[in-house]
Amino acid sequence: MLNYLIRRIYLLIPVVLGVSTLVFLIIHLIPGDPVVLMLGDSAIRADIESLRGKLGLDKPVYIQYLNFLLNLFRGDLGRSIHTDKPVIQTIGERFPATFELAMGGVIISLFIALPLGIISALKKDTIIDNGARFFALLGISIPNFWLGPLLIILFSIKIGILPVSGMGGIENLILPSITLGLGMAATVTRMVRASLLEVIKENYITTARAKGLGESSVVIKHALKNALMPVVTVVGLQLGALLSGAIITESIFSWPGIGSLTIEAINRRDYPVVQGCIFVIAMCYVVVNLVTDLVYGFLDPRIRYE
Amino acid sequence: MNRAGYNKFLKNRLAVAGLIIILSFLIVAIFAPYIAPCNIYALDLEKRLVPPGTGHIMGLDDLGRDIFSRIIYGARVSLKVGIITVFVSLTAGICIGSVAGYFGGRVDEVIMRIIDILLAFPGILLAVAVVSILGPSLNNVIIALCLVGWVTYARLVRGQILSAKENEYVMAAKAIGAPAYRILSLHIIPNILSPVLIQATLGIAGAIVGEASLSFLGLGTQAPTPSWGSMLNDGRRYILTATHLTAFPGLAIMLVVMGFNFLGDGLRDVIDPKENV
Repeated sequence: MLNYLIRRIYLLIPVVLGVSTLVFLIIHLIPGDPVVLMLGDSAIRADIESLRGKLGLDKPVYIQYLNFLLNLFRGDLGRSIHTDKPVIQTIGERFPATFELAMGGVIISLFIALPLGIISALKKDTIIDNGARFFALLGISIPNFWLGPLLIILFSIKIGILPVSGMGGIENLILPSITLGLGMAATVTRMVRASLLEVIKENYITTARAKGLGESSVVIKHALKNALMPVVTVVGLQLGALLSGAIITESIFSWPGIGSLTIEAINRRDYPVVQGCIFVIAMCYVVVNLVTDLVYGFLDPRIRYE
Repeated sequence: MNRAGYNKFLKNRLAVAGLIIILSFLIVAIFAPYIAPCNIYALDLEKRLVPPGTGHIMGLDDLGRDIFSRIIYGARVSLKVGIITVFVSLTAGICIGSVAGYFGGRVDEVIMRIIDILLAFPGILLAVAVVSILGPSLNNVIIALCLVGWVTYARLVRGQILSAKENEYVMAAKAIGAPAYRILSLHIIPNILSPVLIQATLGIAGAIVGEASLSFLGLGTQAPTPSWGSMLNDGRRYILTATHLTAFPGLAIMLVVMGFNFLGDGLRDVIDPKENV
């Protein structure tokens, strides 16, 4: 397992370096002068040169790149142009909200997907199965930027039981979590169903049935345990995708997380914050994928020796 | 698709429904000027936020413009983005994936590392990053979605080619001295197109949602061009008082995305029954 871990981390080095390079390039690929763009056309020359010096944009590009990498290594993502606070501090303040939302999304989606996927597989080609499959396709097709407003209209305006937006108690978390988690629920439902159908055909299930075990025991003890392995991968990958889905969900519900911070920073042309947010979200995605691979390797020993 | 496949496709109700939805939206987009009852730019501030009813079946927006007409024209934006994005990223993906899969070695190694790096960014984030560099506009959205989109096709094509190039017909073509581009374009690619086309169908849905998401965040299509995403974004401000501004554009996005998802799933059932989930 240790060798597997080292090999996976070794493979990550070029990815992290590549992500850092792309994030570094953001400010350099902006058409025109990024400093003028950040300060606006009416900025005076002294301010422009001062900010250019502060951001290190007056140095040769290769020096800027090396400095950028060194600073990243030290956990320094620069300072916000808007608030002058360290970017890492701003992100640190907003990150817990995104984490809370992502967890809410995962819980909601598993709560829907596991029972639905299992029932759908066990009742294959019945009306229940068709209903579950239709739900899955519908869930994938409903864009979260529409689902969110619809839920607000229904639960906050018409019925009036849940708050429209903002962060606070558990009641504030429900609508954003459903908005974020429904797409994932649909994908995981399909995966659970497909995986369980595959496993049910295996010889050891026939053996378990032949031994005279009850159907629920066959499903829970024998089939489900094996069927859930590929589901772990999908959940892991989807968790990463949730982080990007959070950009939209946070924007709908005024949720003070890293996704809404990214959009605020883009609108304010606060490029150090934009760079920081994109780097941190991409790194979270990379780490979640790594952990998923490791969990999968831990659950299925064959993977480690490939 | 052979005759049996064609019959199987026609029996798949969801796939046929998907095709009908897509064709309807295509017709609406092409004939938009003849179908739309009102001028999409005509403002009538006295009638702003009028709810759906006689005269305007989907009501009027915050500037008094007919929502139904704007949704009809919005189909043009969405389908244009979907089709151009998938066409460009599919072409790039097939070329790059073919080179990586067929030649292998260093070239493959470099291409795969680039793909790994781009895949380290969750979907919409990379598009948001590109648009934050290029600035918000419809064309920049298409560029951003293409830069994100080719990766999936390249990886899929590479994988397919890795297994296809071991086939005897490829060996035979090599033995008679056919050049690489000929083997790829005439022998390998036509044989691996099915899964790629399924992916492309689902990819159009993804691109449409991508454009709408960026426009919803204010980073995509700019006013006054009617895009479903930006109409939703505009409608957000009036969600407490005029829900029709939000409901109809979202419904249009969901329907067209559902159409492509149904069709993609149906094609997968017909072409690759193993993958039937």
